[in-house]
Amino acid sequence: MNFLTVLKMILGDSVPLPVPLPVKPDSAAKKPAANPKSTPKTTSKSTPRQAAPAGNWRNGIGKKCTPPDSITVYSPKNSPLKLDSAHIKASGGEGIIYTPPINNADILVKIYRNDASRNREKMHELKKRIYAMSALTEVKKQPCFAWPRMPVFDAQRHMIGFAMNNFNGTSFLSLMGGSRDFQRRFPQWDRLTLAQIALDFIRKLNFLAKHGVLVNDFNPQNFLVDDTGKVSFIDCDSFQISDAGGCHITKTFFPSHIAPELLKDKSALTQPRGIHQLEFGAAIIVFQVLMCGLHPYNYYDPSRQSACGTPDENLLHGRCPLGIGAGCRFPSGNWYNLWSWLTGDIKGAFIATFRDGHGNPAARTTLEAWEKHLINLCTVIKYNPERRTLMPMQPKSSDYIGNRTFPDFKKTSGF
Amino acid sequence: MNNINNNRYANLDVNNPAPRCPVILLLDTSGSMCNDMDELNAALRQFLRETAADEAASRSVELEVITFDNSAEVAMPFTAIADVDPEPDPLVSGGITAMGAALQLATEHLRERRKLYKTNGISSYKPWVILMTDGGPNDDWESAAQEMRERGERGDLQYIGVEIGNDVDHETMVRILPENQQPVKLKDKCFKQFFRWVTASISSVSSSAVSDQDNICFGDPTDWADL
Ligand SMILES: Nc1ncnc2c1ncn2[C@@H]1O[C@H](COP(=O)(O)OP(=O)(O)OP(=O)(O)O)[C@@H](O)[C@H]1O
Ligand SMILES: [Mg+2]
Repeated sequence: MNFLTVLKMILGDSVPLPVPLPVKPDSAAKKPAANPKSTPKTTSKSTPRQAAPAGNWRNGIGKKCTPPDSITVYSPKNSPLKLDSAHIKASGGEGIIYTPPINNADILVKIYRNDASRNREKMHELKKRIYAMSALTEVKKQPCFAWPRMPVFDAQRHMIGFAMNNFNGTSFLSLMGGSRDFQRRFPQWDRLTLAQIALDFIRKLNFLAKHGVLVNDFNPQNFLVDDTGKVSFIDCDSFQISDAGGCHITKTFFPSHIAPELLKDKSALTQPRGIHQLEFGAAIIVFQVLMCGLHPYNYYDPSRQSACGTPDENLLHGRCPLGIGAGCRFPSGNWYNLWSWLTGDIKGAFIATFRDGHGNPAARTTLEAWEKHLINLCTVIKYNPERRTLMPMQPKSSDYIGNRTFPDFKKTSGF
Repeated sequence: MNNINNNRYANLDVNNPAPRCPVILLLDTSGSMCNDMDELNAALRQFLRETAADEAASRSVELEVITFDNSAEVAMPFTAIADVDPEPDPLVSGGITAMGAALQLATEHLRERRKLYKTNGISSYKPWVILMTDGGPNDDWESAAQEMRERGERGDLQYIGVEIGNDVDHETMVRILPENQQPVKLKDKCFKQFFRWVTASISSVSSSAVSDQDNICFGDPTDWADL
């Protein structure tokens, strides 16, 4: 049986994933190797494309890293698949993403880097997480998450990666280059599209949360959007998974998109994260999507320049530019105009999260509230075309009324 | 006279929310470089094209090119990489090596650029300075080199000194560059490999959070660096 057949069986869910053996890392290492049909050929000649994990050369210019020219991996049923450097699609910090040479299968294979896979304990944890993820059938069924579909093994039967769906689309980063850049890239899209993307993002995040899955790493590059505006999530092996057996945590985070209490006390990262931490990271993404990439802690006060840190520093210390009307402290540019045309409840939800919620996690806007506010925002924009533009020439005036006569309009504060 | 951009777009786009990464190329265009100019020019065009095509880098990188021969000249003032003409007129070589004057210009322009970011509330990554030479300064360089060397030693600057060929005044280069970022010899004519590495490294930097940039490790330099 070849790799694809095994994969198809698994993708079709006609074969359950092998049940993980409840073994300790050590005994797992000592298990006798299965008999693969061939041993992987690896050479040490290097053709790396991207950044390698930390560790710098004497002159600070980089590190010699030597991913193998080719590697043979095995399906759970031992069918081999040879991957070589020509199949590399991308390489992240933890793993290398391959487009396997299989026709008509829109899948990718993630293989953890050698240094990770050599670390038995880490791999054991990873394996438990991957299997726990596979058991979450409701989530696995959703087409929008790059969920592990099948573990893959090395010749010694150690799990070294997994297969997942390949997603097309571009990362959220491409929505975040300012309005001029956005309009150049997406001439058909406007603020309504962005509000719809944010809504889809929140709904999917909430779906995961309802299934005990929390996103830990709010790097905008971990979220993709296709040309119809549908959002998908990648890098799913960094999610926190809860199941009957407990909580599979990860320490991963993106420093400019993490709740301040975790940044202040890194030891908190060894504990399971909670919903309020998710709410904080999610709100940063929603803010950046609606604001063409501005970071919500990009605080700037011209009269106190030396006190205006970077967004990362301001996030840590709670220096937030958001406020009502003239109370805003945005950097130079069109930012205040862009902000002012959002609805009052959206602005309130951001202020609750980033000002009040900075030191008080319980004050952060919930995912349910975000969903409600974003639905409302979409409706309001639809019936008020002046709110669609990402280049408003002036701020919304305080006596602006707009069209409120659309179906199912509910009066919300501050509209 | 080297001039690869007419400065039409050299102003700062305050509606771009990305943190900026100022990059200065300090390129030796003295007479002795004549046999390397074709490769250098081709590599430069590749660098402009590939950096502009990289999503994260295209928003963050602001590039200035300073050439030095009989004098130091700004061939292109700080310009967002997305706005740079990817097919500039080739640089030409001739004359001696006014490296000290070039270091002086770079120091001043970096200072000004950082101030411009600051007064507009724009955050930035640490600057990159790439100094490429096949010789050594014929002018005064000690005081001109000091500020950037110290910045590099404080970890405030990514400073890369590239030595081309066998006639480099290595001892002086060692003194110009920060102690922790010593000059590296370019493998024969490997300009393209070097600039590809620069693009990839700056891409990693500009897709990281500003507070995390020091945790990034750049790719394998061995296909251009003679180590
Ligand atoms: N399912 C997928 N569909 C499309 N592209 C993907 C998919 N998974 C990964 N990629 C691409 O590969 C890159 C790296 O993937 P991933 O984030 O999973 O790796 P990583 O090693 O965990 O990286 P990091 O340490 O940065 O999280 C992504 O940024 C994306 O470009
Ligand atoms: Mg990851």
